[in-house]
Amino acid sequence: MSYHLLTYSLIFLPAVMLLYQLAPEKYRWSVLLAADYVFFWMISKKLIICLLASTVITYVTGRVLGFVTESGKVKGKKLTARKRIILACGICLTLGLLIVYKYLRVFGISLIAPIGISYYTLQTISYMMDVYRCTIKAEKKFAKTALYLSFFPQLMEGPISRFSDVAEALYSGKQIEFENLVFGYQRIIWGLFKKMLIADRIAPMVGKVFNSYESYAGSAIAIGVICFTIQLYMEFSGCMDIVIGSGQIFGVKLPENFRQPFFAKSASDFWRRWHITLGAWLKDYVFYPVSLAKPVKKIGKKVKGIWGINVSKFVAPTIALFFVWLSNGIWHGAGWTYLFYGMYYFVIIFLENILENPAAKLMERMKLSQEGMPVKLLRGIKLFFIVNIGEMFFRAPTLSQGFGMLGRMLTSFNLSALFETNFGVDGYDIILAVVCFAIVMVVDVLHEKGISIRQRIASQRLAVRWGFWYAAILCIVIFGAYGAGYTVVDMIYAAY
Amino acid sequence: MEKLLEILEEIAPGEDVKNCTTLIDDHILDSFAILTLVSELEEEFEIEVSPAELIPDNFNSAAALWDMICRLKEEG
Repeated sequence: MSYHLLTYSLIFLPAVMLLYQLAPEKYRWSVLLAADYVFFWMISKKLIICLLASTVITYVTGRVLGFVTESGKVKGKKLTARKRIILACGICLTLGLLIVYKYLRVFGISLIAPIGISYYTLQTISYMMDVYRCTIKAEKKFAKTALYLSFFPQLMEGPISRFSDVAEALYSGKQIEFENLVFGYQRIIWGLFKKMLIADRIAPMVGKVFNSYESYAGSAIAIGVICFTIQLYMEFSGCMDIVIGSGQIFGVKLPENFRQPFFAKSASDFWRRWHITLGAWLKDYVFYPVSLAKPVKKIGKKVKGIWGINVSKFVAPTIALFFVWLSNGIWHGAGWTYLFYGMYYFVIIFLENILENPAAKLMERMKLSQEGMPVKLLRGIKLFFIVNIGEMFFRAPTLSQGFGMLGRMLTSFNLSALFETNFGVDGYDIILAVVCFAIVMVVDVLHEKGISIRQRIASQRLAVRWGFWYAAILCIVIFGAYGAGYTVVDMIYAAY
Repeated sequence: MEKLLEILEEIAPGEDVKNCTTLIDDHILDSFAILTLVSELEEEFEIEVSPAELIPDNFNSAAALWDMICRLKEEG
C-alpha cells in the first residue's frame, strides 16, 4: 500500500470514507484510528509495535507532565526542573527508538525501520514539548493521542503536523462534506499527475546517471542532476497533494509542505518554501531553544563586549543554525552525504546572513534595484546552482561519488556529447515530462500570484468543471508511467 | 511602550510597527529579527523570554509584545 497506487485512492480511501460516514458522529474518530492501524499494518506488519511503543511513551509523558503542572504540589524552579526531567525521559525514549532503527547501521547493525518513524517521532517530540511549554493540554484519552500520531494520510511522508492544528478536526467526527470530497479528490488527481506523469517518467534516467556517472559526460550528468531535482519536487509535492487532499475529505486541514520553492529569492527563502513543516519544526524545537539557551547567550554577551553588537547579533543564530542543519542532515539518514547536505546549507545560509547588509549596500552604490531584472536573474542563477548541487550530494550514493560527479561537470562538460547520450528513456517520455513540468510551472506561477485554480474551475459551468477533471483523469490513465515497461517507483521521502 | 516601539523601528525600519498586527504572519520579523528583538527586550526590560513565548500570538503586534513584556515582568 502506498499513496500513489490506485489501491489507495480507489479502494482503501473510499472504504474508510464509507465506514466513517456510516459510523455515529461520536465514534467516527475511532474509524479513523482503526484505518490508521490497518494502513500501518499493511505497510510495516509487526513493526506496528514501534508505533504503539512511541504512542505509549508520548501519552504517558504528556499525562505525567500535565499532572505535575496541574497538581500544584511543586512550584517555581522546582516544578520546571521536575518537568524537564520528565520531558527529557520522554524524548530520550522516543528518540532512542528512532536511533535504534535508523542509525545503528553506522555500527554495522542494520534493522528494517518502520515506515514513517522519522515523521511520527518528530510529532511525538512536538507534542511532549508543547505540553511541557503549556501551549497545549495533554490529551486524556490514549486512543486519541494514538490517532494524532498515526493519521494514515500523513503516516508515510508527513507533513509534520502540530497537535494544536489538527487534533480538533481529527476528533470532531464531522460528516464528509461534498465540497471537501470534490476538492480533496481533485488535489489527489493533481498529486497523481505530478508523480505518474513527471517523476516516474524521469526516474529511470536519474537512476542511470547517478548509478554509473563515470560513463557520462559532464553535460549529461548536469541534466541528470537537474532531472533529480525536478523528480524530487514532483514526487514529494505530488505525494503531499495526495496526503492533504485525503485529509481534506475528512475535514482535516493538514499543513502545506511546499510553496512554489523555485520562486525563492535565497537559500533561506527556498527552505521556507520546501519541506516547510520540517523547517518549521526545526525552527521551533531546535533553533529557538538553542538560541535562547543560557550558555549561548553568555557567548553572545562576551562577543558583544569584544566586537560590539554588529558581530554579536550573529552569534546565537549562527550556533543555533549549525544545530538546525546538523539535525536536518542527520534526520534524512545515517550517511555522510546527508551530513554533508546539512553542513552545505549551514555554510550557504550563514554566508547569506552575514553578507546580506554588505550586498544591499553594494547594490545601492551601484544603483541596482532588488526587484530589477538583472538582480532577479542573477539571484535565480545563484539559487539554481545552490539547489541543484545540494540535491546532487543528497542523491549521490556516496560522498566521493558526489564529488566525482561535480569533478566531471567541471573538467569534462562536453556539451556536444549530450546529444549522443543514451539516458535509458525514449523521446516520448522526455517530451511528455517536459510538457507536464511546464504545466506544473504555470500552475506554480498562478499560485505565486495568489490565484486558486480549483476555485476558478469550481466557478465554471457544470460541463466545463466535469469536463476538466475527466480530462485530467484520462490524462493520468493514458499518459501515466505504469503498466508494461514501467516498474512502480517507491516514494523517495517514505525512506527517510 | 515607547521604548518598545523604538526597538521595533530599529529592527524593522520603514514598517508601520505601531499599527501592524501581522509582524510574523507577513514575515516582517524573520527568525533572526525575532532573536535580535528578544535580546533587546531582555536587556531593556530585564525579563527572560523562554522558547515557549516565541509564538506568533506574542509577536504579531506591538500591543501583543507589550502584553507579553508586562506579563513576564509580573512573573518576575
